[in-house]
Parts: sequence; C-alpha cells; structure tokens
Amino acid sequence: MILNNYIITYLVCSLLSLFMGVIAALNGFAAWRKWNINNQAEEQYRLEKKVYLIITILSLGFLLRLLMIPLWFRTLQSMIISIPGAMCLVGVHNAGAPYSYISSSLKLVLPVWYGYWLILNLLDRKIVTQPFMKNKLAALTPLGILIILETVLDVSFFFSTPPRQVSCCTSLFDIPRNDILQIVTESTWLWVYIFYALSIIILAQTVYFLIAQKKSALTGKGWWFGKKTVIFFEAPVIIFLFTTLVIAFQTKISPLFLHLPFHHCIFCLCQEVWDALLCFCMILAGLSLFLIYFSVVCSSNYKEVNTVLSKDMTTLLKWSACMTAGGLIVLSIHLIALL
Amino acid sequence: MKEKKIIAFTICFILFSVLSAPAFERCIMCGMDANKSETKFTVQVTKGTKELSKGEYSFCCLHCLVLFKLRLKDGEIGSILVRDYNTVIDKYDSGDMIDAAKAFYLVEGNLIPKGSMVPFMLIFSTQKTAGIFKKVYGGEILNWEQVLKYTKP
Repeated sequence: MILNNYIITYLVCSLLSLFMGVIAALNGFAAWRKWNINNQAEEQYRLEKKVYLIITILSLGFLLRLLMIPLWFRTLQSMIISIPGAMCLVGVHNAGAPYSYISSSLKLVLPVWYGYWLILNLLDRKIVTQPFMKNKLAALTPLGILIILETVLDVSFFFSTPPRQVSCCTSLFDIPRNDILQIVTESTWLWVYIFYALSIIILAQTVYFLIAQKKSALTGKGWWFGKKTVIFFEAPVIIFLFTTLVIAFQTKISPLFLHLPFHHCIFCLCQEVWDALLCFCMILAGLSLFLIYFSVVCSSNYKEVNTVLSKDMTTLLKWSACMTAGGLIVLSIHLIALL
Repeated sequence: MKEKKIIAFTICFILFSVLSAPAFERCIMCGMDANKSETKFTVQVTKGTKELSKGEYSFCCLHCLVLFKLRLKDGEIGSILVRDYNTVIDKYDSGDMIDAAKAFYLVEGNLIPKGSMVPFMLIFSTQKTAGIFKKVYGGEILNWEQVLKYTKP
C-alpha cells in the first residue's frame, strides 16, 4: 500500500462520507414510505423532525463527496512518483485496476446525482408544501448505496495498490491497433467536428429553453414540464456529447496541445495543459447542470410550482449555458492560436 | 468595463500558455523530459512524414523509440544514439551518447534507471561494464537486435 498526505486525507473524508451514506441508505427508504405532508398525526411530526436532520447531514455529505472529486484526482496524481513506470494517471490506474477505473468513472457520473439532489433540496425548501420531498426521499437509498459502493471501491483501490512496475499511457493508447481502441488512437479531426456540431445544437437548445423558461414565468405553462420523454431524449444526447468531448481530446486535441504528434492521452493533456483541464471541467459542469435542469422540470409535480421556481430554473439554465459556452470559448481560443 | 477586462485577461492568459514552449527537451512520444532520463535515445529522422518533419528527436526510453518506429510508417531513420549509463553522473543531462547498435543492454536487473519507463534497462558501451553491473544487480545482457525483440510495443 502507498501512503502519503493526500491518501490519508482522502481516506478520512471517505470514512466521513461512508457514515453519511449509511445514514441515508438506512433512513431514506423508511421515511419515503411513511411520508405524508397532509397527515396531522404525532408520528408525521416526529418523522419530519428526523427527516430534516437527515437531510441536513446528507447535504453536507453530498457536498463533501463533490469536493472529494478533485481531491481524488489530485491524490492519484500524488501517487505517480511512487509507482515505477507511471508518468500520468493511466499508470496509477493500471497499478490498481479494475477498482481504479470503476472508481474514476463513478467520479464523473455520481456528481450529477449529488448535484441533482442538492439542487432539488434547495428548490424544495423554497416552497411550504415541499413538492419534491418524496423525490428527495426516494433518491436517498440508491444514493446512500452508491456512496457506500464508491467508498468501498476507493478504499479497496488504495489498500490494494502496491508500488509495482507498470506500463503507462504510451502502451495503452499510442500503439497502432485494429480493435476498438483504434478509435482513441487515431489522429483525426472527425470527433472534434462532431463535438463542435453537437455543442452548438445543445447551446442553441439551452438558449431556447432559457427564453421559454422566462416566458413560462408569466403564463405558468411549458410544454416540457412534467414530460418524462424529454429527459429520455435529452440525457442520451448530453451523454453522447460528453463522450465525443473525451474522444476529441484523446484523438486530436491531446497531440495538438501537447505538441507531441503521436501521443494520445487525455490524462497527460489535463495534467500539463491547464486550460484544457479548465475547459473540460467547465463543459462537464455545464452539461451536468443542463441534465439536472431537465431532471427537475420533468418531474411530475413541477408544473404546479413553476411560477415560484421559474426564476431559479432560469438561473440554473444561465449557469449551464455560461459554463458550456465558456469551456467552448477557452478550447476554441487555444485551437485557433495553434492553427 | 470590468467584464471586458476579465475577458481580455483570460484570453491573454490562454495565449501565454499556448505560446510558451516547455523549457526542457521532451521525449517526442510521451512528453517526459528526455534529458532527465538515464536511458535517453536520440534519433535522426532522415525522411519525414505528414505528421513529423525530418530532424533530430529525443526519447526517454527504448519503449518510446519502438512505438515511434511503428508510428513513423513511411519515414526513415538514420543514426540512433543512446546514453551510456556508466558515464552518467549526478548532474542533469549527463552521460556520453554512444551508437545504439553497438551498445549492450542489461535487462531485468534490480536497478531502475531514473527518468525511464518499462521495460527498465541499463545501457553500456562495453560488455565488460555490463557484466560488472550484472554481477551486482542481476539480469541478462542483450545486444541491439535482441533488445529490440525483447521490447514489445
């Protein structure tokens, strides 16, 4: 096992969040079953007090998990020096595979869920009837289980990673192949074009929904409110856009930005070129907020509370558009300067 | 006015990072500091390709060089020089560069050269020196053809 300051800090934070995850998993389901805001009985009053306490603890827990994401990648980076042969995060991942790869993938997926829950909680507290309480409680158990799973994976990775010799990104990405990995080892502009085309579509959509959301504050109506089909249509597009961003970084942007014509590694890119990391994070945050927006407005009881929450939802969309557009601008400036 | 200043500052900052080249001699394959590596290779590309013009390029290890040869396809390589481990002193970019084809490669020993990558090896100009290191650190001595076969991409 490798030990350093970052690993110890991460393990302490993991234990704290595990404690919160256990609380969520145990209490969430029971509270969801018994919750009835119209019930005047003593039992409901006691349940409310308990639920508010759990929600406060969990808000801190989810916030902690969000803050632990950059810490996770920083911790992995701090391990490079202890693993012979590793020069970027690929080497560290290889030393602790498969836990490392699963853990890092979860770090990209789960923040959307944590963010969704935190924003839902923020919106719910603005209305006396608490229309999203059931949704919040329903999400607690799966989120609690995911926190436990994530913590177990993280801890397993740290405890099972010896300082052994590994091969790094050049072995994984830079060999001419004939299999599926060829997609990420080819130097082609194709994925950059697809990424830009899709980004423009998503940005146009954001602007459309921003205008429509503003208008809905007056009329109280929106065709997409409460429609689950919208989220089922939007989510795959957003996920595909994010995938194209990763492949575009891997195939063309990393050799170009690193000034290494044959080196395709998104980890080396984000490690060495700070604005690439910045635009990656901005686009990821922008797309996540867009997904969260749809997750909220597509819930069945949003329609009734739109007039109260419209301003907040507009702000959410504005942040989403600013983040995505900002990331695109940073990327474009760098690309134009190089070409 | 304040927003314009922030935007201008951001653009300048990005352009600064784009235009400032790294201060060290990079391995053309992986980007590591080749001068820092105790197993540095230098290759003369006599015929360039669409992706790479002809000239001299450095590598941190033989593994990167093998990958480079695979990637170069239509290009042609002239001379290949490698750092003699026995002449490396505790100083940045030290050690004589010798002909790689005539060098001796001690692989699978217990001593890991600094700044290199797997498969780790120590490179010497004479078989006698390689033999001395073999007695202390173990491993196997290979010549140029053998080490190329040994180093899998």
